[in-house]
Amino acid sequence: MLNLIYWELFKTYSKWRTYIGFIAVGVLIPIIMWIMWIEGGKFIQYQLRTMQSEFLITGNLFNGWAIAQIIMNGLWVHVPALIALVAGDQLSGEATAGTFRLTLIRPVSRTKILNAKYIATLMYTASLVIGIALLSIGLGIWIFGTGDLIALDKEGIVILPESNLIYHFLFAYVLAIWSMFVVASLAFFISSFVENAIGPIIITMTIIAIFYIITFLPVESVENIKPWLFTTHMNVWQQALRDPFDWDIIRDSVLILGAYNGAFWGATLLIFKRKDILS
Amino acid sequence: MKRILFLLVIFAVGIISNTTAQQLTAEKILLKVKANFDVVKDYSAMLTGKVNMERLKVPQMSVKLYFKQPNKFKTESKGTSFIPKNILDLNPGDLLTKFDPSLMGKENVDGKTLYKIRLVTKPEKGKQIRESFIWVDESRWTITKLEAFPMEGRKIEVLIESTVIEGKYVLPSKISAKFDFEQNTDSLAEKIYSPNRMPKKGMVELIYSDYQVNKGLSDEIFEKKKN
Repeated sequence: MLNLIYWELFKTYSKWRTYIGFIAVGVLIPIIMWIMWIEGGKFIQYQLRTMQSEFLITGNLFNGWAIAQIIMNGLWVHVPALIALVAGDQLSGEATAGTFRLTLIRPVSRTKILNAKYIATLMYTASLVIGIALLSIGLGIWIFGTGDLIALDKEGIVILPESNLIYHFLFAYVLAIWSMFVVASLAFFISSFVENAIGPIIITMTIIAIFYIITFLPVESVENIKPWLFTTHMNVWQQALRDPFDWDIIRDSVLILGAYNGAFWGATLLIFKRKDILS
Repeated sequence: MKRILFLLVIFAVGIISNTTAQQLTAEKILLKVKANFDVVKDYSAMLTGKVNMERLKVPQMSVKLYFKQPNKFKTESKGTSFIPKNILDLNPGDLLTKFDPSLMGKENVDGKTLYKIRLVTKPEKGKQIRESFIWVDESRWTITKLEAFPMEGRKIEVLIESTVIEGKYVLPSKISAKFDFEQNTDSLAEKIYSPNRMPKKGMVELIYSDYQVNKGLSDEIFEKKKN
């Protein structure tokens, strides 16, 4: 199995399109940082404007951690497209290239082949999020220095001490990887139907867009549906930047996202095992 | 006869002390407070504290505070700190220039005689006139309490404990600021949800330590660094 995963990873990382995501974030993150550097932390002052009338606020709140948080917030709409670009190609790419028949005549079960591809897809997804994490935190701290993090939510303003931030962010990126696995699983699932890689990318992004629209629709009739949509739980990583953690929200989101992952993987396996490979 | 003489003495002492108290105006009290503080040319101190405000969670604060006469302040901290501005604004040297004071009376609190003074901000173009009250301890000529109303509905009560440094300088050792806010529940501001709206109620406690008084702090310390 490890050998299969190795070769799937080799195939994945041998493709040019795999690096489009890394190049995109590699260009985008420095640009965001440059804009932030010019902007000079006005957004932090805006967040604290009500406090500043009564408190003298000291310390460096415009720091690398704050930038990493903003980048995470900002990129989260675009990262799914980059993931779908690779995940959507995993099965359909083989169909397009006509290599499936060659692969499947070997004495390895379809389940093992599919699992190896799925694991490779998840590993790519994790590597992209880790790449974003390393670049945004590393470059952010290098340019803007370090300090405490200001986190705003409906409960108010929380200043997270610098000493704990590495754990908060590690947890946040783990949760982010978990939510991005759903995007990867969805694109992987769709790629099992079709024989060209463009379809899964477009369909995945369309589904995400529709789900997002429903998630943010302020209509009572969809309120009961919202908790069951994966898009409602995609920002679960934000819960890691709270103190204390709301474990109920984190548990529910992790379980629902996990259920989507399991369902997409199971459905893909079912389709792939029964699929008549003609190309 | 002796009884009449005794009563006369008591009466005379009463009149004299009453006259002295009446002569003691708010300006004179504030001048005594200022004179008491003027012997401190500069100081640096460590300020540790905690903020316990509604909708605001801040880690334990640790701030290095620098002061130089007449009104130079500088704070340095590695972490984030929220210091109530009213505390820093409470510079005895500035009270007479910033406010119009009036003596409200004398109070006895825990065996101490305190003078209650009403401070009204001097008229300034574009600024609303606000009133606040301070209580001055007669034994040390230091401010022990402040009640400020910086905006509609907001009340800040600051209690100041003082300590004597090097046997001659009276400086704050502990400051507790209590924030309160009363707002009409029907007001628009109350109804509109804003995640970064001002915290209404809470406490801020600051403890001063490691005082270094009159060590000749350089002006450069107070110059703002350009980023």
